[in-house]
Amino acid sequence: MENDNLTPEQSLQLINKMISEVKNELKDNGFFFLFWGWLVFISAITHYIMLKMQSEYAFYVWSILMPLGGIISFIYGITRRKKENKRVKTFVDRAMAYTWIAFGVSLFIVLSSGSMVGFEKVYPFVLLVYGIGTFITGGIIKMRWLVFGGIACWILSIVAFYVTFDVQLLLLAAGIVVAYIVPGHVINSNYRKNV
Amino acid sequence: MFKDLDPILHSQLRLGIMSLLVSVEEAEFTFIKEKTEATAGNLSVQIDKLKQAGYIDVNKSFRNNYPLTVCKITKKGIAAFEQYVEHLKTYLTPKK
Repeated sequence: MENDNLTPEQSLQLINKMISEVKNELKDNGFFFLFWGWLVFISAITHYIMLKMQSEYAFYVWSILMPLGGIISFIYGITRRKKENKRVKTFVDRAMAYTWIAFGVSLFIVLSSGSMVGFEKVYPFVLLVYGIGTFITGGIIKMRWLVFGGIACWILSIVAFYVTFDVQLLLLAAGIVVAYIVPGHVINSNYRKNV
Repeated sequence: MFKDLDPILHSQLRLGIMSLLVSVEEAEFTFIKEKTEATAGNLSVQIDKLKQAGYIDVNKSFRNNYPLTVCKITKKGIAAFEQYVEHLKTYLTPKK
């Protein structure tokens, strides 16, 4: 393999080849977008239906599904890490990690204050935070669907300030569809094409 | 007007290693081995040369009792790589 008689063209080809090798390594299957997208979508819709049926326990759908989602994500994250045996760290990895940590912390702060000031007051902020997560991710991985999804969440967030709680749930479900579920399926189908 | 190409980088395997490292934060030995399709022995030698030149940092540790070598490009390495590409351009400009 040792060959010091590289022509400039060969050098350039080699650089290109190596850089595209790394690019292929970055492909994501969109699991987290799809998983959390559908989970939050189902929770919001179930909550809405139960509210309409005047169930006292409507809110419990979140208390059950969200921690369950957390556990499944954790297990999935660990097994995927082991299976893929990821042996390279990129700038994108770090940018994504910080974005989603900030997302999680912000969401936690917003939701925990919701129990004190009333959830109808904080739901618009939930949409705001959702928008930030997808918008930045879309910018980092250069995916328009996510950028537009993020913007859509912000628009829905503005609307959410002016409507009642039950309508906010529907807005949340709509935001999840455009910002998480649809882009998640696009990411997943791109991933399948490339494998 | 051809500019001299850095002899440390102007070698197939070393240039391959540097091209991989320039676009990532850090990479494990096994990753570099797989992508460059080099033998472990040859790769070790070339990584050592790049380290001697101060172009990369090499961190050796253990994971699950297996040796783990993680390589990372240095500022000096990035500068050298950029200069190499600049000099490469002088060879590639179309002749009239």
